[in-house]
Amino acid sequence: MNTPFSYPARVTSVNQITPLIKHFSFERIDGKPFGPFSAGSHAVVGMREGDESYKNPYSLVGASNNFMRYEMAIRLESNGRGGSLFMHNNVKVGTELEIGNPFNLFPVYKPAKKHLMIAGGVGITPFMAYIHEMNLMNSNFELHYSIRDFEYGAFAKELQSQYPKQVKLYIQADDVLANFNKILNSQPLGTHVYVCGPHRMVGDLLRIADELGWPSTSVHSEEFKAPDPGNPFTVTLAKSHHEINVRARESLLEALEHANVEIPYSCRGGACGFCKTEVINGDIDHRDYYLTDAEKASGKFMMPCISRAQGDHLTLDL
Amino acid sequence: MTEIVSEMKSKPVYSPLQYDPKSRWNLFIGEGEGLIGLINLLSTSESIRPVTTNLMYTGSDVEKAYAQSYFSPSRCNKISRFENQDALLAELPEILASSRMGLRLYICGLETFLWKVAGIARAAGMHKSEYNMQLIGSKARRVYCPHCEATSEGVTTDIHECDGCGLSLINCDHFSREMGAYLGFRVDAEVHGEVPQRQELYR
Repeated sequence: MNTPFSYPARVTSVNQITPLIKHFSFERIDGKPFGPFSAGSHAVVGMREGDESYKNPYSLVGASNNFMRYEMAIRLESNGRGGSLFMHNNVKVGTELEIGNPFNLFPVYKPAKKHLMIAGGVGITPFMAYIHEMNLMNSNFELHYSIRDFEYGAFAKELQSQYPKQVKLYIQADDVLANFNKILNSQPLGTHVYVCGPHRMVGDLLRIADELGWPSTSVHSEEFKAPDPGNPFTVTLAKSHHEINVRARESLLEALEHANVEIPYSCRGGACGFCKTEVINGDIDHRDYYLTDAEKASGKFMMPCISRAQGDHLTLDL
Repeated sequence: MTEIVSEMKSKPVYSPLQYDPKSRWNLFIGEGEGLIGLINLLSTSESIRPVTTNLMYTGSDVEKAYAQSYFSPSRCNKISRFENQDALLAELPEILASSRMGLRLYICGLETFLWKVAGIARAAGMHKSEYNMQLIGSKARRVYCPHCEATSEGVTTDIHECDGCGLSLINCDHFSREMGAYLGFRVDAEVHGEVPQRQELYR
């Protein structure tokens, strides 16, 4: 697998669509179209702020047949590691950033008879592209969207007015909660369900679908994990004889990049498998969704975008 | 030739039907002798809830008697008997179209029947983990001819004359789930007219 290519891009619009979410549009600086993408894709935004740099993956929310413009809706994570703060505080129309080629870990299963989307909060973003695609395909779809408050629900108003029959909103402030048992209970044969939202919501949905006899092949989920901080540690690169320090708030992948060690990546959240790296020595704190249990137990591989050292040192085959 | 033929991974391997405890509705589908496999499954799966269980089958009066005694109202919600296979297969899409997620199919009968039902299930959006099938009865093959695109039914020998073009075909274990057929090819393609003695292999 190769490192996805990235393009210098410019911000063409910024809109505050909820108190916490801003909607951004991008175009390529050379005026050429971006690569095509399928609904559910994410792309990595590369930001630079003095010595700091951030590379965060965000879902593409726009129509997947418009290649001149990419769109993203980004939630401000005040306790995050800085990427979304930078996007909210520093990025204006005209700001130049890097946009990576899109990659899809959450594609629409096109042969499905019906598409059932379950979104929570900013988890609505991949479904904005889904709905464009489903309209083009004339597919049967339904969206159940849980939001804290009407004001906080990105795209809630437009979705409700455009698709009054297919979209159901659940507003926590009004004490209306989505009942997954009820939603999944009577779906027609051939339905596929897609869920994107907070960790607990995704877990609940997966459990209930399983209890109700949905085969795992009809259940799709996406959760982005930002790398959690951990203890600082050092890595030795066996081939290039480098020693690198990984700070508490940076990921191993970021530390490698700062040391100009390029390794392939895409999701930067432990899901896609691009950055799989061989470990020669040291105990690993596995935090990804990608490696199999057997691979994790072998201690021979790790996903540096999200996983860390168990102790204070690792030797990598790099 | 036999070594190539016997190592085909696509050849389906059938085993006795197994009840999926995650199922919420169960549709038993049988053809003739295949009813035996369905009865075995029902008799050994005490936890199957009768209200969620239906039977569709085609078979003789003997099989009808078996169906009525084993799929009694205390074990099964509804029995539908069909005149023949075609009538059953014609009804199935409608039944699946009005079914809900959580349905499992248990299919038992001859190989051609199994894959026709599986094809209808797939067209209804079902994944292979949602249907389970068992072959009971003759191992006779449906064989596809790549020369004329016809299929021959009930082939019991390694070599046969194609129902479509009359060429002598040897069939191998390469199986198409889409067509429910084994692949045949001209046995005397290299030297026309040199057709080996046929052997009966699939009874």
